[in-house]
Amino acid sequence: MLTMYDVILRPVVTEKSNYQNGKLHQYVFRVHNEATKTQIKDAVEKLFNVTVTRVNVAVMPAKSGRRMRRLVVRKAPYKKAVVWLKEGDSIAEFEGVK
Amino acid sequence: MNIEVNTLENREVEIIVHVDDEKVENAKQVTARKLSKNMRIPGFRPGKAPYHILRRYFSDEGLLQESLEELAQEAYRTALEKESIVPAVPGNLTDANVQERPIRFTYKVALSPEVDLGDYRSIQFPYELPEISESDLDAEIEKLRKEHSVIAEVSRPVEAGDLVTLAYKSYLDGDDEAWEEENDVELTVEENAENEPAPGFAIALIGAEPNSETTINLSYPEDFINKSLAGQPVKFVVTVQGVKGRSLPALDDDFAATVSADYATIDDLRDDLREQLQNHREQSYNGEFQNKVFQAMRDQAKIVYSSLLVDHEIEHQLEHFDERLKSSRLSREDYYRMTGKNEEEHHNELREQAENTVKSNAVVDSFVKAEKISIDDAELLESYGTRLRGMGIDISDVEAEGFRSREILNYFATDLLNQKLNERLLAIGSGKAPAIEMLAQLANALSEAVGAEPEEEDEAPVAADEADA
Repeated sequence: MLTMYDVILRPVVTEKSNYQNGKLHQYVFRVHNEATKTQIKDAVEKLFNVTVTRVNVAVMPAKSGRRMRRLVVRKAPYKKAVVWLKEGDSIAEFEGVK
Repeated sequence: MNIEVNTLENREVEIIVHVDDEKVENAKQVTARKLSKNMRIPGFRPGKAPYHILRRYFSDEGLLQESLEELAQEAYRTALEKESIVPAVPGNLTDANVQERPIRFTYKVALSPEVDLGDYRSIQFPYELPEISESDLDAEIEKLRKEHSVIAEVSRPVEAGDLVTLAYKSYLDGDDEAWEEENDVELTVEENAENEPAPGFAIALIGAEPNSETTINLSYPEDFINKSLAGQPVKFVVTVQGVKGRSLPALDDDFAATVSADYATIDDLRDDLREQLQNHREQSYNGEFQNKVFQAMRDQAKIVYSSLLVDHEIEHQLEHFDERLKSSRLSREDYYRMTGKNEEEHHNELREQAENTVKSNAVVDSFVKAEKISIDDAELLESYGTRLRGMGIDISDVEAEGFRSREILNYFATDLLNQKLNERLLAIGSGKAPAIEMLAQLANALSEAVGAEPEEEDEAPVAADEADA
């Protein structure tokens, strides 16, 4: 049974997510593999005290690489959520160190 | 940006600049962006991470330290511009206070020296150009005769100045066996001749008959290069194989014609030679005279200058010194090791010369201004053209090929200005200089005639660097 605090794992900070929250007012999180859109919406609203208008989720595929030519390592697949907030709301954790 | 300017003594000013926090913040952002270009930040391509992400990787103090140089440079530039200060040499940052806000930079800047030339126009020396005497002329002609002498085989005993071919065997004290044996040695019979086996050998040959054996007894001097031979007596058994004598040409019209086809008679040669000698002597005498006047002017002038100028000049000299060392593949450390000097001693050695250069430059600068010495484009081009003609080039060709670069013109401008400066020094020293008021009128009339503004001393800074009268 997933609690609200298990749903959101961490924010995704990349060039793309930076563009999304700067220009599109969308926030990107890595979420639990079994989390649903509703759970994500509830969790974000509760944790950051904002209003969520839309949630998109995507399961990012597993990727594999090699270490020292031979050893194949596999990165696990994970679920990513793009959360759309109501106009005027923001999440301070994304704004960086003040 | 708040700027304070305090005037110090010796033509120095202290500039204190308080930099706004906003400027500091901007500088930090620029620095962070610059640094991030060489960093890998997960999720971002190099140089693409935004400032708020970068701040997680850099500390505030670190960024500030990194930005200081750029900030200090910019503050310096702005302060000079706003306060219209013209430094004579690049200023020094003496203090940077970054603990307090707003941060504060303190600079020490040297202004151009203040020169009071005094009554330099009263500096006069007797102008006594020495005449060329008959004996000077004779000596010169004798030199020419020697240059045109004919060397021919003779069959007489050796005389001084002859060119001798010989073979010899040398015996050290009491030895029966030859210690050294040489053939076909050529040497000129004179003091300290090249190729001679022992000092005094060549002179001892005088009087030796060709194709017969002569014995010469000498001893090596105590300070001879080869230590094992020093002080030892030595016997040379010499066979003179050939003697070539030098025969001087007779002083007649033919000799004059051989020197140059321009001379018909020996008197022509003498007259021309006298003129050449006279010109040469006049040039060197004038040079010394100008130097004397300039030295007197420099000694008399009251010059106030900053020690920063001297330091800068020392640096300049050290750069030249390094270049010279580099050409012999040495570094300054090697030089110090070889000579046993240290850097401070070296600096002190250069200091006196540097001070003289600074003073001379200042005096030249203010002398050029006081005497209203200037050059215009027409003069410059004419001098350039004359010099080019001397090298067999026509100025129009050069213009066509685009060789009239700024550097070359600057070089000629300096040269021309130096020439004018020296002429004026000569005129002042010998009491023939025109009055300054007249010069000013002349300059104005000239500029009106050309239709240009009276020329300011644009070239003066160039001259000040190069001219060393």
